[in-house]
Parts: sequence; structure tokens; C-alpha cells
Amino acid sequence: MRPALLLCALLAAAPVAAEDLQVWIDHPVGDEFVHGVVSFVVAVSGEQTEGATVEFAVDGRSLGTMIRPPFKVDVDVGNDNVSHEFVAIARARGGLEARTTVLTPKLMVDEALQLNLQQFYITASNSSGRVLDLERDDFRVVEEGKEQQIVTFERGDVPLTSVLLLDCSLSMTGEPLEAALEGASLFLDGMNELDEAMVMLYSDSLLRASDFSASRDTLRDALAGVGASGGTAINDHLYLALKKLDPRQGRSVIVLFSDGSDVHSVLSMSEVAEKVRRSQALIYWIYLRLRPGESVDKVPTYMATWRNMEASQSEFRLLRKAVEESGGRVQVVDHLEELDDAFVGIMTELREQYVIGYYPSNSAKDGSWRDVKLRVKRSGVKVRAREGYAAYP
Amino acid sequence: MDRKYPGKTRDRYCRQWAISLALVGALAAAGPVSAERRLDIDRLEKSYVAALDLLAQGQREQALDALMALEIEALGKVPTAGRIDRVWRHKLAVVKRALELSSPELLVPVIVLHHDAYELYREAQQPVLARHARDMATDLATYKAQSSKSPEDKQFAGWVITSFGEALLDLRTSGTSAGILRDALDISPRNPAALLGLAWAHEIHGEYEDAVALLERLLEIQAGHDQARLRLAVCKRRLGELESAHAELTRLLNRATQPWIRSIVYQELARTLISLGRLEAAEVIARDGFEEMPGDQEIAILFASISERRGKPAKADAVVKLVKPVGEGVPSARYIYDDRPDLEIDEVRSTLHAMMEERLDVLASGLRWWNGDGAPGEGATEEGGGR
Repeated sequence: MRPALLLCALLAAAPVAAEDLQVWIDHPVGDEFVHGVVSFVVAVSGEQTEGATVEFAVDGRSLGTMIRPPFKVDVDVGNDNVSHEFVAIARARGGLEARTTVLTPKLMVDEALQLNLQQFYITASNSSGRVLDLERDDFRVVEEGKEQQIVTFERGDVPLTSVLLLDCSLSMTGEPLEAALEGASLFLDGMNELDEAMVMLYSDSLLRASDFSASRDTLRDALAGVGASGGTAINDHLYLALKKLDPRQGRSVIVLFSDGSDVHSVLSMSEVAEKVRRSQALIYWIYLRLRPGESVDKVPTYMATWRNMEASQSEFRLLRKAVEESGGRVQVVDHLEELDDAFVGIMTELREQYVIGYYPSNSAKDGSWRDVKLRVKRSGVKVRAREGYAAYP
Repeated sequence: MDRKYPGKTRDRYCRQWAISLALVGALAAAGPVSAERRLDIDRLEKSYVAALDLLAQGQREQALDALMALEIEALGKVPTAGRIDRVWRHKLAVVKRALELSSPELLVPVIVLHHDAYELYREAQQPVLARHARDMATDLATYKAQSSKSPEDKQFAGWVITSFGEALLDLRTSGTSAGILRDALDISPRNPAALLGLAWAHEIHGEYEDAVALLERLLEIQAGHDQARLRLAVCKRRLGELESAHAELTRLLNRATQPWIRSIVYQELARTLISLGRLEAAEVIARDGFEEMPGDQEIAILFASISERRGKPAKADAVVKLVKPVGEGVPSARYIYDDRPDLEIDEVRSTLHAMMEERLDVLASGLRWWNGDGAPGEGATEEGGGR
């Protein structure tokens, strides 16, 4: 309930005019997520403030009554990501009473993040598969060697915004492209009501792009009737996808489908990798390997005027590194019939992630890279997440 | 340069040597008839003369058909090297006989006929026959140029060989193409198409110094060749010659008109300035490019990226919002640059055909020993192979 409405309702029932005794909460304010120790500050005014007392209550539990100003108390509300109800009751000597309430919100990960909050999307697994029953206390966050306090913890179906970034260059002609489009469609089938996605089809140029939409039909339309043609500019379009996600709130994901040979981009992968570090987007790369069975470490060789063989190999390695740094992964696909599972598997993985947030103890925005280690106390459980972040303003 | 691309192969040298011998009368030493039991030499030579006769009468397409029919019959699908060599020698014997009765200019129509057959064999995906046609035309053109030493003959040979090099100028066959183009330049060092094509082949192999040398030669011949200057600047930037690259690009910015070239000029200028540590100037150039070509995705993306690096994410957002899909079938500037360059070879081929038409009477004169009814005339007293 909104505090103002609550106050009005109470005052309407009060025997004394409101101007005789007024009370309000200076802190916390109603739209701010709070956790840990919070200063609860109350002010009173009106003709009957002389000798007035203030009772403090949080979440239905009375903290006590103060008999003189300043009406301020520090209270530990805990670190759970929950909303809290702060109630202040002022009482005048003559029995006159005024009350006000502030409801602080739960932090929603699909809302605008507070500037300093760092969020990590974590996939946990053990030898049996995905681990889905971890609690907040099972996790540890260490930034640059310093333990951090986890302030937000979510599990499961956190809404997500994704970009399906599909290579439609000539090398994808025929069955590869058809299989990729079908896989992408299955990915869209896995979207929840609050999810949104954008389809971007590229070759050496951006061929087609939908708007962000929650409508699967709209998104599927964007996949229909495209043919393979032209060259390949992965770097440019990955940058474009990251930029499209910049203004989006909450969890963001790029699913890149490509055979991995950038030929025509104007941006180098090292430039895009810098952008990846600034972004919180997870990148999943479905890598269609043209020579099945080769080690994933074996880099494709390709020559072009823009990138000779050596540069082409370097670009490939940097792309893979950027994907892993983002907290996503490279899904190698050797056979086209594996593509459906690859797309669906990524969506499933996203549905089974943990989301952890913390305010870094080092709040300096100096552009430096902060190495972050996420650990799980439970033995045998491995986690995969972004490896850190760049502390840009 | 030779270490990077296949040069003249040994068999090519052998043929050069052999053609010279043939044309000075030493072909008789080629070997006894018994060594060619399975090849009907009379039939081969008569058919070849008939094909040339059709050409001399102006029936080019029929001549091509006749030539290809006899070659396919004589060589089969998978001919041995020895068989190819024998067919080659007996065709040369016919040409030699014609040369004895006419001028070397009759070689022009013969060369162009084989040149055209090469195209048809390639289209028919007959690589061995195509190679045979290419060798025949190349060897005759080279012989003509080396015999006369005239600039016109060298230029003609250069165009013929460049035409073959151009046909193979793509990623997979760039090595072969480079070898052919280098042959063209050996004969005709100022051939612009060969210089540009060979420079491109070096560029895709990352051999930027070689590419620079060729492009500078080309620009000495055609200072206004914008594509050559652009490639020169790009290669220089990669070699770290940033100030020189910047100067070439600035010059191009003031004169180039083709949109794809202007797009690359803006991109490369910005990238050069970044490499020089002049990020602010790079942003200005990218902005100028974006203002001139707002629909150019590459410039827009580069501009957004530089703006973001300059601490202007909102500007980058605004630019990115303007990036719209171009649809299929619209190549980007960088794609055009990367693709095999247009050597304007159609014009060259038209010139070759015009030269051929002008010399058909010379060819007819050389074939006058042929009585036209399928049998050699009085001049052909020897049997095939010049024996």
C-alpha cells in the first residue's frame, strides 16, 4: 500500500485534525531498495508536538518508542531481497496519534540497476548435471581478493532480454542456415511471458533486425524467408547487439550463431571485447564447426584482404575469450542435427541460473578490470559466470 | 616473390624450349610415329587445320566447336601428360606450316581462338582441357612477343596472359593466378590489370610489402587509379607506415568519387588516426563520414565505437539507433574491397577479338596449302609432326 494513502486513511479515522500532529519518515524513502543496517529517521510537526513520542516498527515488529527528538534509530533489516514496511506512530500527550508508513521495494532484476550493483548470472553444475538447490549462503563472492557481501539472490526464471544474432553469410547456404533458423525458432518457443527478444540476421551487413518484442510470432516472422549471401562481419554485429542491449534493463543475453570466421568487420575483436567487458550481457556462441572432430582449440584458417591467416586466427581466439569472459560459453556443433539441442539447451540453462548481486567494496570507477571469483561452498559443485567486470563510470 | 607463389614450372620451361624448336624446324626430332600408336595424327592435324580454316573464314563459333571437338577426341577425359604433349606438338606443327607461308601476325587469331576455348572449358568444368588451351595460347603469345620484341606484341601477350590470370583470381586459386599474372608482367611490365590483380593476390596472403611495390608501379603508370591508391594506403597502414598511409588517404578523400572507395577511405583514415593516438581526430573523421554517408553501416559502427571510447555512450546509442538493415544482395564497402578486383578485363577481351578479326586474312593466307576438302594441299607433303 502506498504510504500516502495509508496516512490518509488513518487520518480520516483520527479524532483530531491532522494539522495538530503530523508525522513523516525522512528515511528510508519509498522507492529505494534497502538491506543491512538502515537509518530509520522520523520527523513530527504540528501544534501538539510538545512532548510527543514516536514508536518505530519494521515489518510488523515494534522496535520501541523514543520520547524525544531526534527520532532516529538504526535497524538491521537483513540482506534478503525483500520489501520492508517501516511504520512510525507519533503520540501527543493528549492522546492524539498520527501514523505513517513507508514500503521499500524488493529489488527487481528486470528493473534499472543501481549504479554500483554488480550482478552475476551463475550456472552451477556437478558431475550429475545442473545443480538447482543452492541457497544464498552457499555462494561466496571474492572481488580482487576481498570477500563481498551478497545483497541480492535470485534463482530460476528471472526475466531476460535476448538478441538472436545469426550468421546468414554465403558459407551458411542451404541446410546450415535452415537448421539455424529452426533452432532459433525453438529458442523463441522457450521464452516466458516477461522475456523479450530481438532477431538480428547479418552477413557482411545487417540484413534484418526486428525490434525487441515479447511476441514469438513477431520474432518468428523476422526469421522467415531469409537467404544466405555475402561475407561475414561478426565483430561489427556483436558490437551492435551489445549496444542494442545497453539500454535494456535486467538480464541480457546474446546468442550468436556463426562458423567463427570474421572477414569483413571494421571493428577488431579486441575493440569488441572491451565493449563486452563494459556490458553485463552474457554471450553464448553456437559455433558451427566446419571440420567435425577437430579440437575446439584448432583455429579455422581463413585469408582475406582485411585479415590474413594470422589475424584471422587471432580474431577467433579473442572471440572465444570474450564469450567466456562474459559468463556465457561456446557451444560447438559438429552436425546440423545438433543445432536444435544447442539452442534449446541455452534457453534451459538460462532458466536454471542463479542471479547474485553485490555492491563492490571498492566503489572507485577508474575503468580498471576487477577480477571476481564466485565460489560455492558445497563440494563438487562448479560454477560458471562472468570472470569480472570493468569499473567504468 | 618467387618463394611465395609458384613460378614458371619446369614443364612450362620445357614447352617454351620445345616451342622454339618447333618453330625453327627442330620439331622433327620430337620422336618416331611408333611412339604415338594410339593417336590418329592425320586426323588430328586435319581437324585442327579445318578449325583454323573456319576461323579464317570468320566463323568463330564454328571454329571453336571444331577445335574443342578435336581436342576432346584427341585428349579424352583424363589424358596423360605425354598425350597432352603430343597433341600440343602436332598442333604446333600445323601452326609452323602456316607460319612458313604467312606472317607471324596469323598467330593472333590462333591465340585468341585458344584463349576463347579456355573460357568454354572452364565453364564446362574441364580443367585439363582448359589448362591445355591456356598453355597453347600462352606459349604462342609468349613466342610471338619474344620473337619480335615489339612493344605491341608484348602488350598483346600481356593481355592474353592477364586474361587467364583474371579468370583464376579468387581466394582458392590466387596462387595459380599470381603465377600467371607474374608471367604477364615478365612480358609486359606495365600492364595495369596484371599489377592490380597480382597486388590483390599478395594482399590476401598478407604480403603487404610485395603488394605495395606493385601498387606503386601501377600508380606510376596511372596516377589517378583510386582503387590502387586505396589499396596502397591500406597496405601501408598494416605495415605501420601510418603517416604515409594518412597522406594517401587524405589525397583520396579529396578526389575519390566511388561510394565504396570513399567509405573505406573514411574508415581507414579513422583507423590510422587511432593508431597514431589521435582518437579525437578519428572521431571527427568518422563523424564526417557518417554525415556524408549516414546509411553506411560500417562507418556508423566505427563512429559509435569511437564515440563510446571517447566517453560518449549516449552519442554512440544515437548513432546505433540509425543503423538499419540493408537487406540481401547489397555488398558492403569492405566486402567489395575484399572481393577480387575488377580488372576491367571485358574491355581487354574485346580488344583481343578486334585484333583477331583484323588478322583473319593473314591466317587465311597461312592456310592456303589447305585445299579445304579435308586433305592437305600441295604445300603439305610431309606427314604430321613435320616429319
